[in-house]
Amino acid sequence: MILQATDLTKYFPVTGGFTVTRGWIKALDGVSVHVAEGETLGIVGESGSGKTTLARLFLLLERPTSGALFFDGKATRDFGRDDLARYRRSVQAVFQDPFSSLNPRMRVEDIVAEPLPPENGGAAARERVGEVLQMVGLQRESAALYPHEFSGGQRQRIAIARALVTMPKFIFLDEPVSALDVSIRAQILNLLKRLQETLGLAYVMISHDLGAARYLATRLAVMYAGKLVETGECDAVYTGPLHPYTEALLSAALPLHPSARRQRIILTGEVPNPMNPPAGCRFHPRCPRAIPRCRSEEPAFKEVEPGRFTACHLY
Amino acid sequence: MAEPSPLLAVEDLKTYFFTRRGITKAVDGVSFTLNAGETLALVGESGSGKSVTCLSLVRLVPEPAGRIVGGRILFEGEDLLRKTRAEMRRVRGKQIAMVLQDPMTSLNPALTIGTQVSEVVRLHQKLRGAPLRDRVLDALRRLRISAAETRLGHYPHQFSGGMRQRVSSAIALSCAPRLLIADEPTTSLDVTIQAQYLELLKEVQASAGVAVILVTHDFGIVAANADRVAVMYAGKIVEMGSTLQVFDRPGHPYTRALLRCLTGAGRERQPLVEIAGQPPDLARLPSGCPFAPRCPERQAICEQVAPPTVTVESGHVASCWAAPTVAA
Repeated sequence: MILQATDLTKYFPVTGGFTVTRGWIKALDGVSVHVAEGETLGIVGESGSGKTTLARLFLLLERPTSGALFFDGKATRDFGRDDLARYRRSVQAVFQDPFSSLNPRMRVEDIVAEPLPPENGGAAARERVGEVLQMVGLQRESAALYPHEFSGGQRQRIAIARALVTMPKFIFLDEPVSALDVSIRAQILNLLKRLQETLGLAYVMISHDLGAARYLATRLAVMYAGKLVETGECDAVYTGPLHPYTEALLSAALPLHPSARRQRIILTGEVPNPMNPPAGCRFHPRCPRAIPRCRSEEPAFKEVEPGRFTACHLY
Repeated sequence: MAEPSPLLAVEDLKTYFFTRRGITKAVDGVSFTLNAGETLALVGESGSGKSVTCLSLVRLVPEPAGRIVGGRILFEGEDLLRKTRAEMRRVRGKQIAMVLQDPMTSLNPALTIGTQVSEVVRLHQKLRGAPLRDRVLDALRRLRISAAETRLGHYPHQFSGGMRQRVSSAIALSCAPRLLIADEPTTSLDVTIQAQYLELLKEVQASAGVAVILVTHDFGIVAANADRVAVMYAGKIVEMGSTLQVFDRPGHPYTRALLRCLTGAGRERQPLVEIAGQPPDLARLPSGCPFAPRCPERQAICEQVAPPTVTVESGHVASCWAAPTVAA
């Protein structure tokens, strides 16, 4: 089974109060990625890079402006009722903030059972809920409690249990640990890894935390201002980034030790306005290695080394 | 031969919250000193008491539930806990300034940036008219707000997250404080913007000679900016020392565990070491060491008697029964 996006584009209209469209926010502009069974694709980038929009398209929460999504070779836009039901069971999500993603007025068992189709209710559903709660390291008895009775880390476990209940193949993790305390982060990352190994799950992990992404990801996609700038095997990208943005992003990550303080590339400026991205390469105004061509001509996304793709004129 | 007296000396500070569930000892006997121009990082997880410590320093603990019940806060030799409310107002913003986590909530969305920066300068420096305006522009420019003149008339929503945090910092630094308290200043910022902000903070700090208390839960930020670190757990400082000492020879099992679960971009993929369990409930603290229930190196004594604070090496202390001590 494979999940694939080809040339996905999503523009959001900017309206002037009424329905007059004044412009378009180019949240995602021609992105192609795929995720195979059992692997973890890490999507990293800063706010406004389009990583969450990409996830929302995959979860069918938004329709693409153009481009297509394929699940097992079939386009999601041609899905019938049954295909859609199967897709939703196979593709689940865990969101960033377990304080807002769980309904405070529902009991844990109802939260976790919610994705299950209505026809398998009753005892079977309760059994399944107990099973997934144990899988994520919670007591079966927690099913009767409400979310406020749990700490942040435990709530994230409940959210993971809800994602697992339909036996999915793919789980989208949107910043799964960034709302958690450091000591709890490690618990959740280890849990995710363990679940992946035992259940053969594929993850798409969206993160701006490069350390957490490296811990789980097998392949990495780096996004900037609605475009992919680099993809490749995770370790290869971390040890030898090709695109200057990837390089800067990795070097901006905080040092692990005070002795590693001085060797950072500090980018000037900020992520461009998505309504009016710069011409040519979108990174050129901040790029320390920009050449004249970058200002006028948009670089193509191409394979520059086996398995390593980047969009940069330097290659 | 007297040592130069520190800018700030906190002695046995205790801030408790009196709630229906009992007394929550949010800060329970915290002592540290800070020299002029130095950066001290206060590290801990949520509920460890780092933010309440900061609020206590400027006497902004939410009353009536919260009260500072003991200790001394000597700032430039004067005890802040003995000052009247009016005297404290003159200290806040002028001598001690604060930058909070989320600039979106610490700036007033209905007032222009110019109004918000000049308010502080007008109150503390008694400036008006052109000199006031110059001072405000100067404060914004120092924090690299470009086109400061036009930016004066803009509202917070017209700024990006990183710029808002720089505006907040411009307000904090506008009256040349001696001490800046930065409570998780980069938590809401992106990676590259965080790096920009931390570098800028270092620069401005060096040129203005201001001391900084940097509150964070991220040891990466400590590694990047701090001279000294104090690690907090359950309302107490469990370890304190220079940044290098704490990174290279952590004396407390909690510090060691935190350092091991640090995920870094430069780190090889290896299993993360978890800290089992949850931080304790501050209203129901265990009798011995508060970290004992989660501690991998727990001994029998840890659960009965709170550990003493021992000197690991010069300038480096830890509160642990098993901490290595200097040879006497």
